[in-house]
Amino acid sequence: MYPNLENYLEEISHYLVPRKGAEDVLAEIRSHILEKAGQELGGIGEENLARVIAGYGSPPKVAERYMEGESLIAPTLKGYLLRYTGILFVIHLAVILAAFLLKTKMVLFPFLYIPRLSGVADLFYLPTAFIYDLGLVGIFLYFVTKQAKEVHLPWFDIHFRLPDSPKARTSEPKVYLLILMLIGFGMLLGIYLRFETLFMLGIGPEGTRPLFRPAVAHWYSLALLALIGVGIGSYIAQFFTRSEWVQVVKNAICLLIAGIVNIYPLEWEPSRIPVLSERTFGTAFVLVVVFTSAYGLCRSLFRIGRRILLDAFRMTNDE
Amino acid sequence: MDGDNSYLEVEMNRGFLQLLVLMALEQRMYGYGMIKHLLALGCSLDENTLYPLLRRLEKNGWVQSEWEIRSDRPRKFYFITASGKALREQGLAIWRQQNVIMQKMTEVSHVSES
Repeated sequence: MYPNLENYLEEISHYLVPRKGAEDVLAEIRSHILEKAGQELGGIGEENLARVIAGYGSPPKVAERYMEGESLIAPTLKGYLLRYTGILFVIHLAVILAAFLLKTKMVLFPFLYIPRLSGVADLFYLPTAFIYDLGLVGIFLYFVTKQAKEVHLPWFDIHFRLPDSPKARTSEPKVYLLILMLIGFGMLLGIYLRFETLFMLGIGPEGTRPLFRPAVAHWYSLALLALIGVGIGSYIAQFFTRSEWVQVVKNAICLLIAGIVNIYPLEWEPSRIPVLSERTFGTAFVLVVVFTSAYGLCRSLFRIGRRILLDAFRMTNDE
Repeated sequence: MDGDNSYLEVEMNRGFLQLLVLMALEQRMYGYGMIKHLLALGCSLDENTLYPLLRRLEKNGWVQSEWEIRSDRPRKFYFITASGKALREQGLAIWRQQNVIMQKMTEVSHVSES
């Protein structure tokens, strides 16, 4: 027995996954090191073994070479990790919301257990829920990989054909961004359900200071949530179609929301915050939404119109 | 540019080393002996490359192994299987074909240069 060699092999064994066959790997490394020390350094002694071991490589690197090509999740399945996590998280989010609204705990045996939480505690529960979902999907994909069979996991394959629709000048939609948006939206929704406003200073059960009167705050919070919801909806739609019409519909709905906010009768009163009056805020809110949405709408319509004209021109030339 | 060279070497070695080992295993060999054998032919092969490669070949059924005790020392001997021989022939055919293509390519580039 050579303590240095056995310690080295022991350390390699910590990193070797899967464990099956590990003893054989270690026996072969042992045999090689002893052989090399005996043949190249003139004898097997602790000193010679230490020199051979130093040249063999660090235990993690040695183990890594045996695990090349041994993926926990097959490369073809990696794309499903965030996709399926996204779907699961949306379901999870809905259950959390239902638990919050019904003021009860929720159990979807054996996968989900949502304890009865307060509004703020729900917000802190969201990252935990996401990590749990990611882990659950990861375990599922791990077992699919271990099956070592060619599997086709289901995924939505919906493509809308919209009339005269140039590709929108937006970047490719990303699942992780959608998840972040949903988390953000969920958090805002949680704040709204807890405090009945999104416009306040400070957060927490104590120490919050509303910026506006409840009726005004309630109305603008709902409008803001609706605008964000429309934005997320249009982002989800981009997974299925990159049509410019998506932007048209999104901006049209945003303009509609701005219009409703503008005509809704609210009695203006001086705000408790001296620098920001309710009337100033309301006007600025509507103006920002109208200008950004109108600009987006005009740009999209211009691009669609240009495409129609170009197609018509091409058709005329072809004839 | 050393990094680029090592990347190219790794990429080009992927199939080449498998073929080389399958050819070397025409006779039964153990790992250390194979490294020495290939070194004598001018191919320096790292033990951390050879042993994992042998395991992958064995997992696919192209080589088999058995432990033997010689000179009071256990050694794991490898030998090629029938499917390994078939793979080796296919690999050699590909290698020859690639050689022909490469030869033609270099001739064409020589002509265009001159």
